[in-house]
Amino acid sequence: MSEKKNDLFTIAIVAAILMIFSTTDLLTKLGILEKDNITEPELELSLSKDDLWNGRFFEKYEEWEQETFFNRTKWSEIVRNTRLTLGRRELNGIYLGKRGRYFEKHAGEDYPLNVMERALDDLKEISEERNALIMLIPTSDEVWKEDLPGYADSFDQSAFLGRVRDTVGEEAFIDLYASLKAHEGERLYYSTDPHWTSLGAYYGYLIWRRQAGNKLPVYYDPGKLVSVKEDFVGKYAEKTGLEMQEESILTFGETYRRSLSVLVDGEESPEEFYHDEKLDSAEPLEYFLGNDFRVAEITTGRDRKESLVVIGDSYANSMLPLLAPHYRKIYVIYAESFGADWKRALGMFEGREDLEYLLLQSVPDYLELYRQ
Amino acid sequence: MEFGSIVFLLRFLPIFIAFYYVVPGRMKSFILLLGSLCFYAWRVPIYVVLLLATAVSDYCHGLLIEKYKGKRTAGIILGNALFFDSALLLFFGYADFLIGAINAVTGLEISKFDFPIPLGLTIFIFQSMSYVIDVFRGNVEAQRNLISYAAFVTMFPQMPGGPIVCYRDVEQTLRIPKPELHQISGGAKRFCIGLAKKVLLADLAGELWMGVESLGVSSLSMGTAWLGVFAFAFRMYYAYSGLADMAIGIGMCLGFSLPESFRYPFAASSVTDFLHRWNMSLVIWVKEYVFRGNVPGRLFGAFLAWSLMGLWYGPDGTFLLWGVWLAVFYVLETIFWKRVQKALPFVVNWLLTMLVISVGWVFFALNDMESVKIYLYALFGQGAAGLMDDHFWYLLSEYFPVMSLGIVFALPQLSMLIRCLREGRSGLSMALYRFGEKTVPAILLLLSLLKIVGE
Repeated sequence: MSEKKNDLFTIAIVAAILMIFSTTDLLTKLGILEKDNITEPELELSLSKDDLWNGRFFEKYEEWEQETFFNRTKWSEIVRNTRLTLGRRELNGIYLGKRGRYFEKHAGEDYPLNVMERALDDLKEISEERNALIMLIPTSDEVWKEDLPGYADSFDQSAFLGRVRDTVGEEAFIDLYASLKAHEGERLYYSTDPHWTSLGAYYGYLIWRRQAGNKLPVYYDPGKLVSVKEDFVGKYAEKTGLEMQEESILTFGETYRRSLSVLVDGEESPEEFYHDEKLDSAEPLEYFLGNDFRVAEITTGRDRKESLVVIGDSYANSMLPLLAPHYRKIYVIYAESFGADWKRALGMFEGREDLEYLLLQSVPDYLELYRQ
Repeated sequence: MEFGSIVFLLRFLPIFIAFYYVVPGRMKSFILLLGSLCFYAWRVPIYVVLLLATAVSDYCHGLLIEKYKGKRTAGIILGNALFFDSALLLFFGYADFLIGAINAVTGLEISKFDFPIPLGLTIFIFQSMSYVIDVFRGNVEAQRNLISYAAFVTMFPQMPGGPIVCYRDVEQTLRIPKPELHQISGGAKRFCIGLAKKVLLADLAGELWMGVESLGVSSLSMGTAWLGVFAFAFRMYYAYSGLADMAIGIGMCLGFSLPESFRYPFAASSVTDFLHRWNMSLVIWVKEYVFRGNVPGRLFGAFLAWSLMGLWYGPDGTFLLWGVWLAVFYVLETIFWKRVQKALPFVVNWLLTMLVISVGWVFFALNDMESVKIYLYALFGQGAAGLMDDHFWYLLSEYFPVMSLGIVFALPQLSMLIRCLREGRSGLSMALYRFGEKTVPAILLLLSLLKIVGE
């Protein structure tokens, strides 16, 4: 091949690649070629002086171009698979663990000493002033640590829980880690979502009952869990963009059909612990009470003297149905709605003698309150 | 508009190149000017005024200098031009930095301007300065065509990261740019390589550096600290040399020969050598336009120039410190170490140089001296996490392919192999070279595009 032909050939290849990408994308945006089935964001450009001055106007346009690029999902998949082929075991803050398990990354450096100190101070205060039981739930990356990718950075939750025990004392501390670790071979957590399953919550309930003492025996049979959804795929799938094995959402049949009254932020909610309509939504785990509230008041319909205040998070929701038979009312304070100032919400219970308190949150969720 | 963005690669560049090739030779400078202004206006449109003001100012100054050539007035006009350019540079680039420094030293609370730094400020100011100085020295004739001169000052390829182009290097081309086929082909290849350096290597090395940084300097093991330094060095090198390669590539496609900016700096066997391989166009500019003539105290001048080189990367004290660190070693080498180096084997010199350079990156990368101190402790095995911890092994296993490629492309051996193939007389080497020169740039372009659109 002559030099001239050689040069022409090189130019043609590079130009062709650019032109193919460019024209296909333009034709797709103009609607001449078929779009992939992803909902595309609208182009929202406002030509304000500020946007022009700081360059935000064109930045928004570039973001839109990027997000609406033709076959974007396909390209993302290729990039993702290339990364995985090159040995990456972390995508968008999610570890790709062993045995088909996925884990949210909780890095040690995310929880500096001052965050832990503040968190511990509040635990001490609530345990002393309100006799609260402290039940912090270790997440799957702690209990199933062996399934994390080799050398993966993971916040040492059991060490933190040891500090919690030292701070609040044996009386107030519920050692959930030991209990869950004893059952680590069972399906305690979802593989595709950070939350614990009803089975995990059940083991939590057992240890709580032992620690809380003097509770009427209520029996749940973990061998008879009822499946309410067979094709659940948790939020890790969306975060990583990977296809994941479907799993089931199970609940205890014994917790159904109780006479309940649920007030969420003062408004009546479906009189059930479970919200069937959420099962087919984007957040199927909102089947358990949900997380878009500040304070919920559950009247259990049981003839009990005591009521319970749970300072909880979304992990707490799957244990609430198991706790219900022991109390007349359960008040749930969704701590995330209050941030580090969650103790303020307890003001509404001032002077009441019939209340027990339980702080029931995952370790990362609880510490997260103090990082904000 | 970044070179590694969809808007640039798939919208701006094809349209601009198409127009540039379609119009007749005399119109090309106008299209280049128009394209450059569009490119420049993309981020902060108002700064187009600054760009044009610089061009118009030095265009007029150039004409006046030529008019009064040989007279004292020419010197005054040159002084005026340089004062104007320096004032723009200091005000738009370093005013907030200077105010911060004054506030820190005096305890005053002078409020900052807080405006964004114009893209390529130092580059177009230095380019424009080189023109008026060259007209004054009689190296070039004053440009009479304002459009041609404005096209030179505003030329977009080198705006994001250099190289600095001296007017005399493009004077001929500016009259009637006429890109040859071999130039376009070479430019396309160079552009693809630069794009891959920036998008594939620099960005991934940057990810690794951020991974190390997010651990916090106080919890680093020695291994992680070194991994971080290498990642940062590769991020800097591949980002800036990638941008320079893309600029040179586009320049070639437009018919211009832009100067080289990087020549395997990590193969340097002394700090002086490193400084002459890193950001070469800046070094050449400083040599040519700052040190030509009688500079009193040459070594001190060099020390000052190398120190200030850090500020090229931005108005920040840590960048300045990086420059000072390298400048100190430059002076030490010039005074006595050069003689010692001659007696040492190449490998020892290279290792010592890399040690100095690596420590320098710590100054560059971190925001405060306390962090620098802790990081340096970790670098020499005195960190909180010992020699090697889980973080090190995890990050190494995650980024091993990127770091390996980073090392391979940072050293000249690969380029030597390619040259052997190109110059080889056997049919096999020629066939391999011909096949590679067509497929490799195309593959790199495809991979870069995939990463850009897929992330």
